[in-house]
Amino acid sequence: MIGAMYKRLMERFLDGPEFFPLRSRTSSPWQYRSATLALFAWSRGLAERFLTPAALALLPMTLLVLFYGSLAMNSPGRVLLLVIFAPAVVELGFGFWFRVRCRVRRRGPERVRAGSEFTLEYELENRRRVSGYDLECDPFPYAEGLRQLRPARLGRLPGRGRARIAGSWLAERRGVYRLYRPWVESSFPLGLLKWSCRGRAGEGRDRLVVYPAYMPLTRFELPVGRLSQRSGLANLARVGESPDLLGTREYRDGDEVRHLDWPGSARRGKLVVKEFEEEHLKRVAVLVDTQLPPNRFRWRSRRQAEASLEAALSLALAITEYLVKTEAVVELFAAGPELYHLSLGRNLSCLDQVCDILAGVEPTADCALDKLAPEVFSQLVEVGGAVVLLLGVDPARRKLVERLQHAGVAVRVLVLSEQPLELPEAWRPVAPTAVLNGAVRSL
Amino acid sequence: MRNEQRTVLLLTGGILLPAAFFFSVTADLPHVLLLTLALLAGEFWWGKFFRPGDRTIIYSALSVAVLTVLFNYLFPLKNGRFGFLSFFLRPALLVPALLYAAALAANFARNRWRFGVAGAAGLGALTCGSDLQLARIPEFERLIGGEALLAVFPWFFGVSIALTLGGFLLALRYDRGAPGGNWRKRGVLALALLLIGGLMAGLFALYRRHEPEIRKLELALLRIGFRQLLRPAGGRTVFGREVDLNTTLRPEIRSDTRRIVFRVVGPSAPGYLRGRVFVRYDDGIWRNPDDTPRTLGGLLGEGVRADRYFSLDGGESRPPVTFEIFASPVLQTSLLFIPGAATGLELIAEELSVSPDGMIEASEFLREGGVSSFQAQPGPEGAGQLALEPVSERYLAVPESLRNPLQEVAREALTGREAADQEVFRSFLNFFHRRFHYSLEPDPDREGDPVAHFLRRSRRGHCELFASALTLLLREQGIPARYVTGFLCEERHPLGVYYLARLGNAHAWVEAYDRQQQRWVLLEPTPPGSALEPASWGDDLETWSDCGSLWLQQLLSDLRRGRYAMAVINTLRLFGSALWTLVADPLRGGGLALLLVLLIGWFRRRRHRRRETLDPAAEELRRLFREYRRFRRIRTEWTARQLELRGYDPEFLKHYQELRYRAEPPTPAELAALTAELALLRRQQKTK
Repeated sequence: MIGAMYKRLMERFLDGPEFFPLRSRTSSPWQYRSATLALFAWSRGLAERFLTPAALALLPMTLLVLFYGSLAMNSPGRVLLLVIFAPAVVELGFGFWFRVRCRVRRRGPERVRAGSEFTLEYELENRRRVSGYDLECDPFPYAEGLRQLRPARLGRLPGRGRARIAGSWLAERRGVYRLYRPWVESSFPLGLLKWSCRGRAGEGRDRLVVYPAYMPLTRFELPVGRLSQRSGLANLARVGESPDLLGTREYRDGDEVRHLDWPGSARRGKLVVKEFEEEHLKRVAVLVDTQLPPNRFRWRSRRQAEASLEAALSLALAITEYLVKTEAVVELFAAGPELYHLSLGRNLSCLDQVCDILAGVEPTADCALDKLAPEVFSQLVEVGGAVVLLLGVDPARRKLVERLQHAGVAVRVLVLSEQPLELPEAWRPVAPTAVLNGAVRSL
Repeated sequence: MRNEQRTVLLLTGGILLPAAFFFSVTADLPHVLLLTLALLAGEFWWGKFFRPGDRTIIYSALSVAVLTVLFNYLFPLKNGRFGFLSFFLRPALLVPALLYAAALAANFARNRWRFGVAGAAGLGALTCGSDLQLARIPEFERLIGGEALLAVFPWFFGVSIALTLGGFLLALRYDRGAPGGNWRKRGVLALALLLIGGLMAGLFALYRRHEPEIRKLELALLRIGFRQLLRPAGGRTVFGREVDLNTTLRPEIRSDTRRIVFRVVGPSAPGYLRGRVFVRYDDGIWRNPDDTPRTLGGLLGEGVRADRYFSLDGGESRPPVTFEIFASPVLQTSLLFIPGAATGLELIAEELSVSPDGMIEASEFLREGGVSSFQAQPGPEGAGQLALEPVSERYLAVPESLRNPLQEVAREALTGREAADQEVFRSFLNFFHRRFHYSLEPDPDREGDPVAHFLRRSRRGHCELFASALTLLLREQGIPARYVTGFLCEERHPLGVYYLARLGNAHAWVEAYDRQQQRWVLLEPTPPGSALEPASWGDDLETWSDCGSLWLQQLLSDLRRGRYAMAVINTLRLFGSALWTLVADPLRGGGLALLLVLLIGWFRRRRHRRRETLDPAAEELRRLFREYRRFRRIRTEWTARQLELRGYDPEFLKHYQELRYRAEPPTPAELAALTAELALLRRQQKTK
């Protein structure tokens, strides 16, 4: 039991403070979390909880002045000790008197598009009789991909009073973000020390999905596969659920009794069943490659690679939307860190789910397509064409495409990379920046 | 956005400029204020925030560094302007750097720390600028009217503090204050500000009223604190202003005899480094009379040199032999330890005080700059030649109580046939070397005068007793003599680059005046073999580590003295010597050479590219493609297919790819056709 408690405490310690989260275990390719970093995060978190940035910046110089003042007894600079001491005392006294104690609830959207602004609203209720001044809600940044545009601030909250304020943020990057519990703080009157309180867990929105921004496509050439299109042959006629009546025929053993055409049977004098046209469904697979090189020492190349991934996801969403609109059934496959397979179109699923999935896709250092291959090939019977979005070219990727082609699937390969690559014929390069800028409308 | 930026800059200026003005006045560095103002004004004119990024941050940091160092070089802070704090910090560098950094930091977008950094810079400027010795208002060379402001220093300081603090609080209100609120909020704020002012005034008045009691308490705490601080550090002076032969060597020095106190770079071992000279002996204690030393002014070095040359004998030219002496911080004294034969010194100091016996103390001496000692010839046994009157009574005084014992011993030591002083010296030295023994152990049976006991009974003692005995014996013979203390520097570093003296090499010897030759000579009465055993340098790490210490001392000295070229030369020389020592050893040198060869081979193998073995036709195709790229000025590494897709000469590129990537190599005719196609493209380009 003690071991389990220690493990829990250690996990909590390594997670970092609520408002200064460290990377989660699953996102680290090396499955290691640094205790030193966690200690730094906690130290900084505690410091930032009680001191404003101005006070933190003043701290080293204050210590120097204290040291100097304690030694240089004849120097006039000792007066500076008073300059530090007096405001600190006043700040402490007034801050304690006007400290904030209130109930706070947060409301906001469930999902937003990357690059868009969104608003979070806060309902505040002062639990003290003394008014609270200069209140600010959620002062700490949520995560790197969410930038605050306008803070949610209130000049005065009367004693036992209520108020509603709003702040706006910009969702810069795709992702699934966990928002820390609603937080209210005040650094009244001087802006050096902070007094804060938090809302309860579960009160209001604590999760935000930022899905990739995309530009809808006006035209997209579908890959045409021989599995789904047999030139020269009539479409398969099957007795099925399709509403399109193809004709009637004699009853055979095994046919559904409910499909018997009674008037026709009466006319002919023998049992006749209705025959329906098999719907010719276009099934297209969309495979998204998420493998990025784990080159952590080259920051710039990593940024470019991440831009490629974002472009790939954005393009995947645009292609999926286009295909769904053209009444195709889309099988979306993505890997990172889990394996995602979603069927869309024809009321099978909705685009929101795609947004949620693509928002949470993370890059992998392993070969993502290797993970996808078993799932993809098990679905190949139904799939006529495949759109493969790659982030690079290497033997593994080429091999997957060749396997798809050998299996009779018509493949359209789009390679997202800023670097010039030697591509096989029919593979098309697409510039990630063009996709992210919304310049790609037709493929 | 522009309004916000300008508001931020104005508020930052409100914090920085009063503090910058205060520091500029007290330090007599008007450029600090002007540059701070210029930076803020420049950003004001720029009109928008800097976007935080690696480039903007690096350029800002570089600008701060360059401005700080450059203007400190052009307008250095005068030594002695500030007091105690400048011992720990470098106000001339720290304060301007903080102010410029704060000015630049204010203009970064989304910078929550800007006002805090400005506040810290302002506080730093006020702190460093207030560290003045107000008993004497310093001179102003650059700032006009500075004296007038410092004459009303309390008001000047108070107003600066008030403006800086007020600006800071206003900036914080702007940063943290939220819109809305009523008269109550404003009332609370006003009350807080009034309380701050009242509290400061009240505490200040309280402090002034009870200042003596507060200081007593602080001093008591300080004494405890410093005692703890200094005890393990060993910042102690080996030689005091008296030598008491009645006490033994302090245990902490005996246990630390291996500690290096001097490193000397020179053509040979400098030998005796002369420190203090004593002339009066009473009851086992050597003392000095209260002499008035003569002050020696030095010639300031030219250009960027910060050191001065002091001629000890009045000569104008510098003698040829130089010893560079670097002292360890363990010696906390302004006394200079130099070879006795030195006739010129070069160091960073305002002036030298030379006693009648040739003791030299430096005022405003910067120890890190080291000391260069010049003399006519190398030689380890130079006696100081600086004395007012060699045959003065001060060098002949002998206590009455010792006359009898001294005469007794002199009868034993001398043959009676010594005609010249040199022979007397020789006789005494032989006497001591043959009949006496060296020992550091105290004699438990000692009674009476230590010299008398040493001469008559024990005949065993340390160098101080030997030197004291010889000095008094010579004086008794009418030969002027004096007792000298210092260090013996003869140990050569294993790498042979320099010589060093350790704490255990502290020594005492005698200088006697040869009346025939009319010069002072150095006499060593302590028996040979009594000096500290040469250190056994335990391992290469210790050797190289000490070499590194010397390099650092030398580099720092050269930089402080402005000898930048020498810094480079000495560094190269030191590393060259060290490298030569490394490779001169057959085993190590051979091993290094082998390692180098292996490294080069490995490196070349790594860099070696595997070239495809293409046949000549394919090589020719590649060459044609390179020519095409040059002709079209294509710099990016796109393939032929990529160029074709991008619309570059599709016919030519298709033709090229067919020939290049098919299994059979192209025929000469096909190559010729492709070459002709390229030539056609060129012609078409020219005609366009």
